[in-house]
Amino acid sequence: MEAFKSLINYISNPTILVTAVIVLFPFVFPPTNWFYKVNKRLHLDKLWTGKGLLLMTVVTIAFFIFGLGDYNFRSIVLKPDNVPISGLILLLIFFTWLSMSQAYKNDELIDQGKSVDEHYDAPNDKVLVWPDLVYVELISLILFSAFMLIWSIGLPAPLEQPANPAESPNPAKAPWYFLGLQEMLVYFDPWYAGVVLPTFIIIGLMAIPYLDRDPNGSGYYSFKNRKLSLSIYLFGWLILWNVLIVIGTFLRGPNWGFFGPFEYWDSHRLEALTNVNLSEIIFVKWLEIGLPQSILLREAPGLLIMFILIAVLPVLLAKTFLKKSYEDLGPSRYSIFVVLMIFGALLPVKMYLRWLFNLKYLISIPEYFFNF
Amino acid sequence: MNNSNNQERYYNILKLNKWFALSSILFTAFWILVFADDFNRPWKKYQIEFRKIEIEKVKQDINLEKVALEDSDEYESLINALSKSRSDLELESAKVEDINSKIKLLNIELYKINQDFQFSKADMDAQRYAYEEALFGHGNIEEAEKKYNKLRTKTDKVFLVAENKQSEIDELSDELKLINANIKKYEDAIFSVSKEKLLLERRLTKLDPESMNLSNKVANIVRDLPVIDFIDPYYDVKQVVVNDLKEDLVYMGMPKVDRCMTCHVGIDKKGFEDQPQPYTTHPRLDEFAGGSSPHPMSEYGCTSCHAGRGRGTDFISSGHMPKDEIQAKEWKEKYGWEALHYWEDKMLPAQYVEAGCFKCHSDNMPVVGAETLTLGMATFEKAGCYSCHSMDRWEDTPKPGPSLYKLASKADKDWVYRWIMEPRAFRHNTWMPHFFKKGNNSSPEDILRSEQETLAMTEYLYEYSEDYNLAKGLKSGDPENGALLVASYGCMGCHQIQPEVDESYEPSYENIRLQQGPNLIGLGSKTTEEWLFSWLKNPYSYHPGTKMPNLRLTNKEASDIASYLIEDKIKDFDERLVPNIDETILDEITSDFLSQVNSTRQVEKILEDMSSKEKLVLSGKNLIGHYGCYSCHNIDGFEDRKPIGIALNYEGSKLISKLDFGFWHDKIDHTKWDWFYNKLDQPEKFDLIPNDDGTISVKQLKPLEKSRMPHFGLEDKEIKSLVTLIMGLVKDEIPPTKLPEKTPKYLAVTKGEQFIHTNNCMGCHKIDGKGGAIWTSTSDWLRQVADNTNAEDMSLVQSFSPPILNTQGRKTQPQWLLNWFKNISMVRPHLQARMPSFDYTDEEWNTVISYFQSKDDLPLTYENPHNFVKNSSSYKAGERIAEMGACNNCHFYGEEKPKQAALTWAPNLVLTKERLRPEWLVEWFTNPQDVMPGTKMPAPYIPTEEPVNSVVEVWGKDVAKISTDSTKLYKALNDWMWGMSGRKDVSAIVRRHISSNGYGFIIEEDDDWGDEDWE
Repeated sequence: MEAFKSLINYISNPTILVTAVIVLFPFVFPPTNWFYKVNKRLHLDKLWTGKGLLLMTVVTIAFFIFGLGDYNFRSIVLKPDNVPISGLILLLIFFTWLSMSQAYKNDELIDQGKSVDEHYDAPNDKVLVWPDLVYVELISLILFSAFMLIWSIGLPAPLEQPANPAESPNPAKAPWYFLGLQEMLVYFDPWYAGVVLPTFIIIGLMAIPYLDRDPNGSGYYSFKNRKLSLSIYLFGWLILWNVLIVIGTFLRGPNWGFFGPFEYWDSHRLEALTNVNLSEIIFVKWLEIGLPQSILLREAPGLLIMFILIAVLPVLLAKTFLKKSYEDLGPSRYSIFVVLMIFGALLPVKMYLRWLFNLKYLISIPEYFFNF
Repeated sequence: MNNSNNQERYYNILKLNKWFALSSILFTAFWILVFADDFNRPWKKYQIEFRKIEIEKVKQDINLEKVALEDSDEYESLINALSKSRSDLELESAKVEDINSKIKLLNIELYKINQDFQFSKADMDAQRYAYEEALFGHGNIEEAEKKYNKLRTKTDKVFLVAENKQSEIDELSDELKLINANIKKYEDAIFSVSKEKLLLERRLTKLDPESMNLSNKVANIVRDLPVIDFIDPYYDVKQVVVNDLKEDLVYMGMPKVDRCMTCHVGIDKKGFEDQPQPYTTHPRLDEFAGGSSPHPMSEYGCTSCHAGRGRGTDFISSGHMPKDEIQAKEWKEKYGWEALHYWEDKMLPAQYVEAGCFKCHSDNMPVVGAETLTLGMATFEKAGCYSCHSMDRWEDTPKPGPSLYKLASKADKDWVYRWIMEPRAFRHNTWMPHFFKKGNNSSPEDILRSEQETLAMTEYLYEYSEDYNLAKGLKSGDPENGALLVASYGCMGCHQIQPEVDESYEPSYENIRLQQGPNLIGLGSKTTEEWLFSWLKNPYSYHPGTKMPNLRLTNKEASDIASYLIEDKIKDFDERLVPNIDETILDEITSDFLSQVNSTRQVEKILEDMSSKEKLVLSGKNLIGHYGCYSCHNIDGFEDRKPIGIALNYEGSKLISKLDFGFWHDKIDHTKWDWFYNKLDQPEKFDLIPNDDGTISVKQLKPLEKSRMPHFGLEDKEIKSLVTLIMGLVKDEIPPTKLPEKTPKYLAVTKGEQFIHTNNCMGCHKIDGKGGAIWTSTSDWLRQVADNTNAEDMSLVQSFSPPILNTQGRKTQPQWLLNWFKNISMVRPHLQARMPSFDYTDEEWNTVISYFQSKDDLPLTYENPHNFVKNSSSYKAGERIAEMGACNNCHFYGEEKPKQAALTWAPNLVLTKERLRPEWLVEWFTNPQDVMPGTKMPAPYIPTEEPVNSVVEVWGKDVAKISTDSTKLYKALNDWMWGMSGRKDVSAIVRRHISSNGYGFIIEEDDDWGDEDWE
């Protein structure tokens, strides 16, 4: 039992956890035909059947039940603040399953040349506002209110002590829906993780209908026809957002240190902070000539990388891998799309750079409060 | 999609209806649950239960009253008288009826007439206005005047009629009252006799539904029904709001709101003492919670003393904390208890509850009624905690350890080394703590380093030790006589001689007095006879600030005592090895300090140029600074250093998150008091790591990083008392209205109490029944110079012990007392114990004197001298009373020795006029036992009860004049004493007498009376 717990603690380490999730991801949500074939061959598509849902739910619940036997796990999971996050995991599984199972069913129907479930036959597919919409909404409203009532009785508001500036809670956590952002603060400068990135997320979400104008698979659930776009979206949503929330809730302890789910939250544990900037790696470690005086020269490697990422890479991609996309989207939409993709991908890349090379910042100009 | 058929609706409406019904029912059910949850408060069951208990109690009380009334003759006779009056009234019933009917008729008439009068008056007023208008020029004056006058006459007439009717009614009513007077009288008398019972019965009708009338019965049920119980419920949250005590919510202070009495319903009510929690009465209702106590609940709340979360209304949310594991277990089973995680000031558990007293009563010493807190304060002072941990409360307290300025003259280096290394190996109950061989510095390498550190500190102390000229005059002493002197002169008021650990020792405020000075063992190992002699002769010459006073010993006495004390040696301590200097370790130690301000290369260079001695002295100085030795001892070179510990002023308010539980987080309960307990029990505990197999490892710390706080070898009770004190060191702001009033008396008494405690006056003296630690030693001395019977005679022990200081403020003249303190002379001729000469300043002596005076409610004022006329009648009467009372049996009259043996000798009466206050003497003569319980002084015999004739015959005419007034007789005695003159200092006579005749103890030997003792 203890061995299992330490195993879980071990694989909960962000390096392993994130790597595992990233590696598994394309097999579960195949972005290309090759992965799609493998997905089918490994019968991973069975996850989206009723049995699959049952399996995922049972495994998750079983893990929680097992975990509740452990004091440390219990004290974190049962904290009234954190209970919704456990619910979030289950809901996430259910809704992902719901859409994927519908999508796979529709894919099959299309393969068989039949019309899909959600096929809309205007103007015959008419539904009356009353009672078909309003009545259902009313029922939902009542049920939801009932649920909120029983929750408020069963799990009273988690009131804590009077606020005290001399004693901030350790760990100090953002509201759960911001924990993904807070997790990014570990890897990025606050202005980037807290301002730029969220803005990109919003812009990116708003840009989707303008970037993806492919009518194929539009208006109903489907996967096969939109493998890449769906995988990219799900990667962003599930991994870059929800996994980070779960990590932030359950696995980040005192001093924002990383703790396995069965580990004691020891506020005295010391984490060695030995992060270095790219300029230090290049000028001090490799070239051994010391940091140049000039800021521009000092940060030249980072700026060069940024230049490559923003100016060179999109062009290269347009000529090679994404040639088709470039042709489909045209230069302006393509450049928006590709820049958003690059910044999205930078998040996990930066995480890996931190873990592998203790890289603090690619560009670090604290003189002007600019770090990246 | 299924719209090909003609169905209008997408969903089946019947199904939706079912869903709607189901969800509505569910919603309603949960809504009801919300009300049920709101209605079903955890405290309600306690109030329901308490109501039952209270009903039972009131019923019982009513029964008791009933029985008492039945037994009361007064009540019975009143009842009889009442019934007789009632039957008397029956006889006159016809008359009464007649009067009543007349009154009724008259009232009807009066009503009518009154109305007529009102209307007539209204008409008149209106007409008056019309008349005045006419006078002004609007209307006919004449006509208006006529009308007005007519109306006025009418009104006056009607008024007269009404008045007559009223007086008729009054007359009849008076007549009726007269007839009923007896009944009213007896009813009033019965009411006043049975008032208690009636009040109880009325109370019962409010409490007990069975005793209510129907409408109240219904109301009683309705008022507590769910939902409408917000209007005026019987069962409700009870609270006190104390506006001037603030709850510190960091950003703001909120008035204290305590709801504890919601469950502890009987806490401020008498009569529930035997009920279990939470119904019981406060165990100290006279002091706390009760309306007439000094700390009424309505003004102080509960959490101001007990801490906890006053707004909580269930067991957990109010912050209850168990006193031990057993209680915790019990609570978990009974209430599902867990510590209230989100409240910093949890309720103080039972053993630490007195901590709450300190925030207001820190001035006092002792805090009467708070034994644990007082012991904590005394221990804090005794152990010298305040010298490393600065604290405002003990700011001016002198250093607890002896001065080391002249150490070289006192002890040799080897002894000092061994002592620092392990003080308790030399003196088992010393307050000097252990710095070495603790849990975090006991590895073989650590001990090697500790040895070198100790050598270094010793070296420093000797290097900077001043020269000290020992007093001359040491003779070869007589140890046996020395032992007698030690037992009798008063040494044992502050010291003990206790070679072995006393297993039965119980730490207490009283017992700490015996440890004012060190346990006098092993002095032969520690010092030399010469030094001891010199110290005894004049302690202040060695250490001007010492608490050891000068006993004015002669060279012979000092030599005897020195020769006695020096005899005791502690062999195995003397045999402990003192290691040689280890250059490698010494270099390490030295460089640890040097490297704080130098680079490694500089350190190497400095070390090269240093001799071993220089290294020793340098590290010695740094180590003394590091361990804080200078906090307790005077050491050359450390005069201006700040204490090494953290200030403890607000330690009790420290956030628990600021206390490092280290690796003990699951071994020690997460409370402040448990942390403090463990810190005091084993100060280095949080340097240690408990392993799973029960062994202990030490954290990886450099020598200078280790916890320095030394081991005091405290007992459980002492630790708990200290924790109580620390928990009391809180930041709470208390408004002056809640504090004891700072009257001049209060200030003088508290200041004096502290002085008397610090200087251990009560080691020798008893005040108000407390103190007198020396009595055991007096008894021991009596055993040696007389026998067991004498030693066990408590009145004898008392008479040979320093005097009891009750009423001291009223007793002596302050100027005499001050002079006497500064120049002690003999007062009690028989006493061996000596009032020492203390080197206090005038201000300090004034503290003592005004303490005694304020305590006795005597403001320090100039007093007129006692006026008397020598050879007046009063004077002569006094002389005669003294003669009859044979005062000279015990008292010296100047040179004239008392008639009885030295055993019973009492003060020289010549001293009285300058020493005592005449008012006090009257008080004293009236009943000496009241003033000084156990005294041998009898009340002077006076003839107040005798017939005047015989008084004239036996006592003479002067006494007879005032023979019925005891005060005058006592004043006569004063006059006589004030007229006395003669030799004041009889010490030489006494010394001569005792050395040749002895005390004259009555010693029983084989039925043979030692008659010669009486001669």
